[in-house]
Amino acid sequence: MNPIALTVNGAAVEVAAAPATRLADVLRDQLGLTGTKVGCNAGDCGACTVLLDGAQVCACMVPVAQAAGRAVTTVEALAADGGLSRLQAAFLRHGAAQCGICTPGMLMAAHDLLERNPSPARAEVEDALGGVLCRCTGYVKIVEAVMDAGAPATLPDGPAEGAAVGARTVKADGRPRVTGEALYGADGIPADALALRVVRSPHARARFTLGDLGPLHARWPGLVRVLTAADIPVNRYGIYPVDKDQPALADGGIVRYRGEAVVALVGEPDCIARLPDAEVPITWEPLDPVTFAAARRGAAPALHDHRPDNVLTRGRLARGDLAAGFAAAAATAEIAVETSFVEHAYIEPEAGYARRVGDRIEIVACTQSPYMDRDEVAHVMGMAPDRIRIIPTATGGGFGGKLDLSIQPVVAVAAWLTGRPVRCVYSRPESMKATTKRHPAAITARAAADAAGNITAFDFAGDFNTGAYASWGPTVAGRVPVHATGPYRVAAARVESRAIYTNDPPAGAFRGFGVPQSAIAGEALIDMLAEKLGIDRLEFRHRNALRVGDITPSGQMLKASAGLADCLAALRPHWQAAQRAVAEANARGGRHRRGAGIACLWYGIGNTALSNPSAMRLGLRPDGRLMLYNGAVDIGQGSTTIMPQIAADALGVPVDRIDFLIGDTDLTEDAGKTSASRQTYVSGKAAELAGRDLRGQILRRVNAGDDAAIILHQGYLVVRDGAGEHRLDLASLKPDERGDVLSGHGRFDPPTTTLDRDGQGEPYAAYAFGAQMVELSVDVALGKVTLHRIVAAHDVGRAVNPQQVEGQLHGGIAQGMGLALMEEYVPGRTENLHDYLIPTVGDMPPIDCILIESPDPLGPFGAKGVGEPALVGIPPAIFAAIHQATGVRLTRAPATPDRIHAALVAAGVTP
Amino acid sequence: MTGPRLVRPATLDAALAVLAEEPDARCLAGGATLVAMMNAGLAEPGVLVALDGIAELRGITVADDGRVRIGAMTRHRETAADMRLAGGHAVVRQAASVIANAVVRNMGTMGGSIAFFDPAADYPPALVAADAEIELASAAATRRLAAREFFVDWYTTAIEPGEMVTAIHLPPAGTQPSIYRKHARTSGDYAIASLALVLDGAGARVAVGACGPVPLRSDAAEAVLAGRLADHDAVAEAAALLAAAADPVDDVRGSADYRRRLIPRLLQAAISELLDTREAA
Ligand code: FES
Ligand code: FES
Repeated sequence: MNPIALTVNGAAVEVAAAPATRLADVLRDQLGLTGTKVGCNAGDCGACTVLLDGAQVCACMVPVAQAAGRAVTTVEALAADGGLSRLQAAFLRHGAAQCGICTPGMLMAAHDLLERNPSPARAEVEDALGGVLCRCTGYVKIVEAVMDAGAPATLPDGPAEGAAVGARTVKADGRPRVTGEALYGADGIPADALALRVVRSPHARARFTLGDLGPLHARWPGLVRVLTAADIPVNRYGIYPVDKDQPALADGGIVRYRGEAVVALVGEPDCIARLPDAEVPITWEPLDPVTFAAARRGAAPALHDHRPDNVLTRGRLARGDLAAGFAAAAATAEIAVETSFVEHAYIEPEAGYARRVGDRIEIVACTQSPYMDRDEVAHVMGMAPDRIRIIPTATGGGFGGKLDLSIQPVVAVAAWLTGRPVRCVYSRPESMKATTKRHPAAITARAAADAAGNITAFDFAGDFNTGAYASWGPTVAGRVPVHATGPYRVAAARVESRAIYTNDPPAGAFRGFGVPQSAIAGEALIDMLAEKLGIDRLEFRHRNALRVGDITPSGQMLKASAGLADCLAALRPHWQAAQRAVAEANARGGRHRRGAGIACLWYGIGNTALSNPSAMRLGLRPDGRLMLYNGAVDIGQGSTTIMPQIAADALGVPVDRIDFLIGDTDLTEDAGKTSASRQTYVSGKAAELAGRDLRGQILRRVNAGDDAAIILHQGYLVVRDGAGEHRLDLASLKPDERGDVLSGHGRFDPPTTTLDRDGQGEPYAAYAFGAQMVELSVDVALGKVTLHRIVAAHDVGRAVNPQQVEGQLHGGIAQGMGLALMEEYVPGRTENLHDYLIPTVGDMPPIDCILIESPDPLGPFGAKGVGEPALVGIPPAIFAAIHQATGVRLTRAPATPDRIHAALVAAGVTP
Repeated sequence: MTGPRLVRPATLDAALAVLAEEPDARCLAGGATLVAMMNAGLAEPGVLVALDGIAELRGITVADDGRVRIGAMTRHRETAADMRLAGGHAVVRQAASVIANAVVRNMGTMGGSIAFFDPAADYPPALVAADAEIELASAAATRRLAAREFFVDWYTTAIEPGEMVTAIHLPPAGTQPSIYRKHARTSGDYAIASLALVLDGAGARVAVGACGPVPLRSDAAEAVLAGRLADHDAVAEAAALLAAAADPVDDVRGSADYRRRLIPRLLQAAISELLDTREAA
């Protein structure tokens, strides 16, 4: 192999690599420049964007020999002199990086533009970034940052003591995300690690037999081991304590979905990369798959013995006299809605490694749920949990998809058996095939209202396709009944939900757990009732909105923090202007018809009627700094930033005095999982309590009053109150095993009750509320939707960091657009990011966020949660706007141009 | 891993010599398609002939008589920015400007794109409507082929073994406008259907993309349009002829039925847009 000479970040380098080795691999594996990410290896995601002779290219698509003699610039060059570049600083100022996995690609694409055009127009920025996908931010703050990149490379000062909560502090873990230093699942793998690749089922349902592996080993000396089901000590996992149903590797000679893991090849990386699946001796006997339609009818063979009718679980809610509600109605409405599988499409595919350390196993991987991973891996290994250590890497997006185990059980078994570190990095198609999806739903619903416009009855039946394994299916079936009516006073309600097994990919947790699907049906009914009664759609919602003092359909009295009416009031002027714009535009006629839609949402924070505690510890170091032991993993949503904000104000010190340690199961406390919009509320409360505990301890030591000020110095602190100043020498205190001289602890488990058989009880301690509005046009000739503007008003209790709240809203809104208009995972057909589409920067309309702060009495400084609520209202609002524009109510998501057009033809709107 | 050999000739003749000698050699243009296929295990060439060092394949020249030569290695970004591609040539510039996204436009080349020939890609209908000719070279000979003959079937062109695309030639275009319109699911996606239209005398040349194995052109439809562009009935008749001749498929971007129904609408919209432009001018 002739060495290839090129210039990388200004330095001449020679690499010994085969000429067609992709530049991305050379940069990452040979030059250690892991700031360049690989999200698809197909030119679809742009995470690998670098500059070649100053112009952006996908490094995954460039054979290194083509870069010979040319100049390559990567993200690592931007801050070469140690200080951030203007562009990087702008990204931090604007909160443009969330999970950060797309950030290097975004920075390089923007850098290309800015070098040619230092003050670009918005359209030019959007065009330049068009090849880089982001799943977190909705691109809004990224575009803002690029447009502000001409400003000096400065960052705002941190907030003063006592003013951290509510401040737009810069992302605490942002800097390594804009420099490329942050290590994600695939970035920090030890050089001596063996590689593991899973061989997966190409069939949705099949019997298989595994032949003699001897010849395979003989042909491939680098193959160290082929793991089969027989190697897995306890070959069933699942997030619920009972009915664990998913094998780490298929057993019993049966596979239940296309993409199911069958065997794992473990060996030297080069061998594993070259060994084709086809050489592994597996004989398949394909069987007819169980479809959702057949399983719903009860006309299908059972996937699992313990569920002969394929119904994994049922959820139910019943309240009031439904028949009376319909009898008294002045208007009734009904609808049937279907939705599709939706892929999380985080830009970072699952990745990480395991190593055996004595009689323990350590797993270093991207995840949303380190403590659950620990317990699940322990279960699979047949070990006590304290023999497993989970060290989360930076996680490049999750949205629910990284709550379940993925690589963990197989790398754990492989590392245990071989004694070597073992890595596994999913390819993009593998990530799409193997991991969970959003549940497709088939919903029928009807509702009634009286002449005054009060909702008198709501009746809902929803089936959810849970795929081959349970995953979070029970959570969906349980969360849907509580939320299905929408956030309204409803005199009588009946909700029934089922999660149904099929030979589709396992459906699991995805931002909203079934609530977004349900809202498409529920909000359409609200619109239909309003229209029949001749009441404005916003005003009808305002009249029925749940307020403080109301009883929810699950029988829970809302004692505080129910700001929905305020959200609607805030939308009202925008809504009225939108209605005028609709009337004006449509009076002109033509094929572009304009419409506006509105939807309300609510979202219970934390687990449904289940304990879900978090604990936090805040230690005082002998040098006068603080250490927050934060077990909440930040998958981009920002918990790493806001936990110190909360702890700082609770303790009464400036936030920049706090260092942090994140989510290592050996070192931090269990803060549960990053899901159910719970981290701000639950873990945030624990952080507040830890801060208050530490404050109490300090004040008691010096006998100071409650209103005393704590001033930290190097090696000592001073407490000042009305009586004077007290000095506390930290060196005189004995450090604990963590090295802290004082340690505050906080634990919070939101108070909930179990639900009775009618779904009555108090399933959540707090609810987030919101109202979202969409303006769009439909080209009725083509069936194409163009979004003009979105306004989202959300009651978040208290915005601990408004910039991050906006970021969550933008990202959720983009995902809602995807669900409504373009995203549909079809096994075997859309297993990549060019057939499966997610919104690009060019698809985003302007978004206005309105934050309503109706403080929750329990939440930290009044805060609730916002991660999932952000997307719930967007699909129904889009469908409603299409209805206003065209008169046609769509009932199938996604509403692709094809489907919209067919519906318009069927309705006679277009020939 | 060893993978294919890569050669990077400095001249066209050297490149053609490799193609003549190595049966499993593939030309590597911008890489935007071929390398993606290699990454997915769908292509395993033995030798990659990187064309980026060959100056004679680069750039756009406009002759005094209005003829245009676009070197095969001209990147979409350059084509999209070249305002000399005006009037009847604008259709090609517009097609370049809506290909995928900025990074792909910076890597991909016209020669690479048409040699791979995805029927949902943007250049094929534009080049067919522009009456372009494709210049092909092998070690033995050079020839030119009308774009209509170059695109043969799904993912199949008239390129013979040992041959490569070296340039695209556009005949002189009048000052009458032309247009390329793409209907796609999202910004950056391949077309569900697309339409290229070049006004020509009193009539027009029309090519439809993504609605069959090759860009769809219909002499009968163009005959109907001749002299009757502003006549709604004539446009409808031409559109019906095109739709009847289309042979679309069902795929993730849209159903065959939908695609067929799109054709009249795209044609109607493109014609009115062009007539408006012509009036304004
Ligand atoms: S990794 Fe190169 S484009 Fe996705
Ligand atoms: S911040 Fe863009 S993908 Fe996460």
